[in-house]
Amino acid sequence: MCAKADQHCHKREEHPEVFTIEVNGKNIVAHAGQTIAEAMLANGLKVFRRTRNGSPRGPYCGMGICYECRMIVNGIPNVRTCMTPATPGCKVLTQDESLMRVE
Amino acid sequence: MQEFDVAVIGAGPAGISAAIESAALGVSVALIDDSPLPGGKVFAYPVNYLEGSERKIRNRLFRGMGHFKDRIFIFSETEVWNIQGEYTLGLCRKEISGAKPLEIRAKKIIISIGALERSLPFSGWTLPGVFSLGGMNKLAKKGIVPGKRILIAGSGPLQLVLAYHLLKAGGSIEGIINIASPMQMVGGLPGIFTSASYSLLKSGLRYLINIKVNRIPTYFSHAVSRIDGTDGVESVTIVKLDKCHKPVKGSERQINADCVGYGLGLIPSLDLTRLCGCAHVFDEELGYWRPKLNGNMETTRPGVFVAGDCLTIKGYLAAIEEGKIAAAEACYQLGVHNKNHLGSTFAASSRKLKRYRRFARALEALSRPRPGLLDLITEDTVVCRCEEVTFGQIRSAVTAGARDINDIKRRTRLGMGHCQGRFCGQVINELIMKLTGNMQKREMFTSRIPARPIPFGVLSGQCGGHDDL
Amino acid sequence: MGTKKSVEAVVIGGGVIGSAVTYFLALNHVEVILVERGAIASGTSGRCEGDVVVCDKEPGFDSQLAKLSLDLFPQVASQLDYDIGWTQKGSLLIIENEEEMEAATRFCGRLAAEGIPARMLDRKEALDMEPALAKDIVGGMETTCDGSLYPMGLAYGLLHEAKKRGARISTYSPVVKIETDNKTSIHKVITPDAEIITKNVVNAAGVWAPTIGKMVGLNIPITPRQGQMLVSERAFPVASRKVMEFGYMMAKFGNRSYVRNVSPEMEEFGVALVFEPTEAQNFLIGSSRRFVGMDTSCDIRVLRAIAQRAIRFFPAIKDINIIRSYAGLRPYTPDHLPIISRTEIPGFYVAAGHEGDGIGLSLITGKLIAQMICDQSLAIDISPLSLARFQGRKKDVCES
Repeated sequence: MCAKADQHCHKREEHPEVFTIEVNGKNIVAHAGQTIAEAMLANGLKVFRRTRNGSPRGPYCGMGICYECRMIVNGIPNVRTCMTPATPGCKVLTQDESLMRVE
Repeated sequence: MQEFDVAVIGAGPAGISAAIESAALGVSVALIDDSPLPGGKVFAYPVNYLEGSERKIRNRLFRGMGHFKDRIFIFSETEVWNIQGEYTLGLCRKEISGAKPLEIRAKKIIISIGALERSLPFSGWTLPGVFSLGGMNKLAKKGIVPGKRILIAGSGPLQLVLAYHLLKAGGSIEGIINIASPMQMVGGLPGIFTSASYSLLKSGLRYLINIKVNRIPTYFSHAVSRIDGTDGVESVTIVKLDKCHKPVKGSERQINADCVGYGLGLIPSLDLTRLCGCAHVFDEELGYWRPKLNGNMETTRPGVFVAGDCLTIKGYLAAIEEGKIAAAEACYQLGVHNKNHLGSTFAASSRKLKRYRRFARALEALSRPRPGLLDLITEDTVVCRCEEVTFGQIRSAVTAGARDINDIKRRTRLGMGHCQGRFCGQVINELIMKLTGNMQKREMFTSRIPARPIPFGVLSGQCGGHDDL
Repeated sequence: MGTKKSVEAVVIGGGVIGSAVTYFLALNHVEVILVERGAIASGTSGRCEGDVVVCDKEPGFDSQLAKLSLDLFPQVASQLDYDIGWTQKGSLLIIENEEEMEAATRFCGRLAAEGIPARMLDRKEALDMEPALAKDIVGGMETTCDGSLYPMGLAYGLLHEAKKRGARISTYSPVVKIETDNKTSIHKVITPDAEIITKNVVNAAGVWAPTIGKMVGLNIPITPRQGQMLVSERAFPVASRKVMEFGYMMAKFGNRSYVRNVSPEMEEFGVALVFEPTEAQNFLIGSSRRFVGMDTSCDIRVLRAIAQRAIRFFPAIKDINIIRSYAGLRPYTPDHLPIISRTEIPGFYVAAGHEGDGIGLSLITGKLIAQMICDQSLAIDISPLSLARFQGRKKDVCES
């Protein structure tokens, strides 16, 4: 029962070399192979999240373990942007946890 | 359920090496990694991002994987969140349509999940624009410079690597500040020179020359004492340290920087050895927790092996050798080869390992913080980043009677957030000792399922869930 | 031997029950020491949810006791100089089919007749109230008075106040022996560091109460009944109040012939939805019921069944992350009622065996024990809670 080594490397769609993603309603340029966090930082965007006490946060560890770079991506909250490849047109929002309260 | 002889968790140099060795001995291997590309923190880049010996080693490892592609099954963008029985692995695979649950079975497990960066909290370290050295290095390696005036702080060889990549990407470095004293640095040199390999010395020298040529101010015996700013780094205060790394009062000065890279060397990542219930010891000499070994890279849990930096920090050359030994031992236990082969693998690797380990210890001595550095933690310093627990709150909990880390956790929510105590867990024992004045037994937080956050949909075994898309 | 102390009352156990007893004793100017083998709230109280509910109580004595306790919370919470996270948002029991609807309507009527603010909701009303619920539910039952809090905070808060009033707390002090002088009814509670002479001993040791009971020759029929929980990340609100399923209560306490449409694992592990939003902006998901001794490890099969059941009622949570799981041990008694009781040994009291109701019943338990020790008239006739009710019974068999 042998299979190809790349069988489980699920293929992502091929993206153009340069494309845009939408961050808080504004388009920014991203490059193929960049994560959302990388695209944002390359564009000078640093605040990714606000805690429930309102303090600003951005990426710290860059390897998916500190969970500081979480944002709302295509409607899903708590997405680690340092681990998530940028895809053309994806919609990214600052995650403001003070607004995520039960009223 | 797919079954494998060996499951290797973490496809860095140790993991790839273990997978190649296992496959060469004829067994089937599942090689699992959370990134899209195998290679780990050093090699998971397209080949044109790497240079010199790094590129050569990467190519050798990738060729090996390619050669045994019929026996090595790669699970990329896959996190291991549970290990039970002997051995069923709960996996969470990220796909375009969402996160998917998957279970595989393996007869032996090799854990090679590498390291994380050591850090001590200080006021302002949670501000956007403060990165771990490794986190910023990853950006710089891909040509992204996350600030206009960057300060590199902390300690350890990653500082030099980061400076090199930042300069290469066109970044401007305000300075490098290091907690070690010049005396310590000089004292460490013989150990480094006698143990480092030629290629490591060469890259080290290249890094140093680079700093010299670019005239980057370097401050030894200094640390960042606080960072101020509203939505990012606006000003950085550095302070002189004495021999015990205690900040020297009145020696503060401002550095005009808008971005800080910070780290104090590396420590083993223990998420999965803890999940497996392996015993761990606090290594007083190295200053961190590590898994206890029972045999050739085998943990106290039979059939669970470790290799690379998740055992002790030694760098990728040692990781490659440890991966080989772990795989040879696991395969020997599976009965696919005899004692002779095991002996020869062991002999070939252990001679190299000895030197690498000596090198790592020499470097470790230069990056390790001393207890005085804890004095930088002020009442309003956030210790637990996730739940925003300050040192003042920890002090109140201790005043109210808390004496152990789980008690602090229950009282303050420290360690209850997303990162599951990976950062505050590094310092909480020391803080309790500092506050109570007692040297007490160090503890780790209790390990809980899942080892990494996973969507309800994945735990339920149904599809769906969108963790990190 | 360690230091000798003399005190009016010793409370054994630093969970919410022991803390509440200590609080009410201190409030009544009784000189008290609480002894706890580990840290405060490190046992069941640190591994539970923060329910203070009447909606799942059998109408009658059970619901009256729960309501008496609940009514103490708003005042105590406001008097404590400590935030226990008390909120009173009510609870919702969800109803899966017509058969449950009929039973729930009767149940609701009986609760309402007891003066408890419970009312039935049709499907639309239930969905308007909690829009994230599965659209195929049939209806719900709302109880507006139900509340919740941070359980460990309750213990810390009560003890913080008790300390201000002179109570002493001795943690990491396991009781190793209790000596009783039959003539004088004086007890000596012995820990590794101290000998405490006292007239009154309160056994509030929860699942460890039988061990303490044995030290004085009492048989206390409490068995640990494990429950596992999942903790979510902080995310968008899923529901704003506590949500549970009616069908499970029905199968457990009412109509035993009723079988829910659930998987064999859910049946085997006693899995039922409990959803609880917390003040920390995440939510807890339970629950399970199993007899596995003192084991507090989580079993992936149980966790999986809990997640499946939760998704059945809240489909949207499949995308939300779980960041932690834990298991606690409910102190179970054969008739599901706690033991709040004097015993045949003068001055030895039992306040334990609250199964899943310890948080909710903590204050009334503390109050009743304090009333007993202070010879005051009791807030409610507690004969159904006496230890004596189990005496003469053969070995109590646990149902699973």
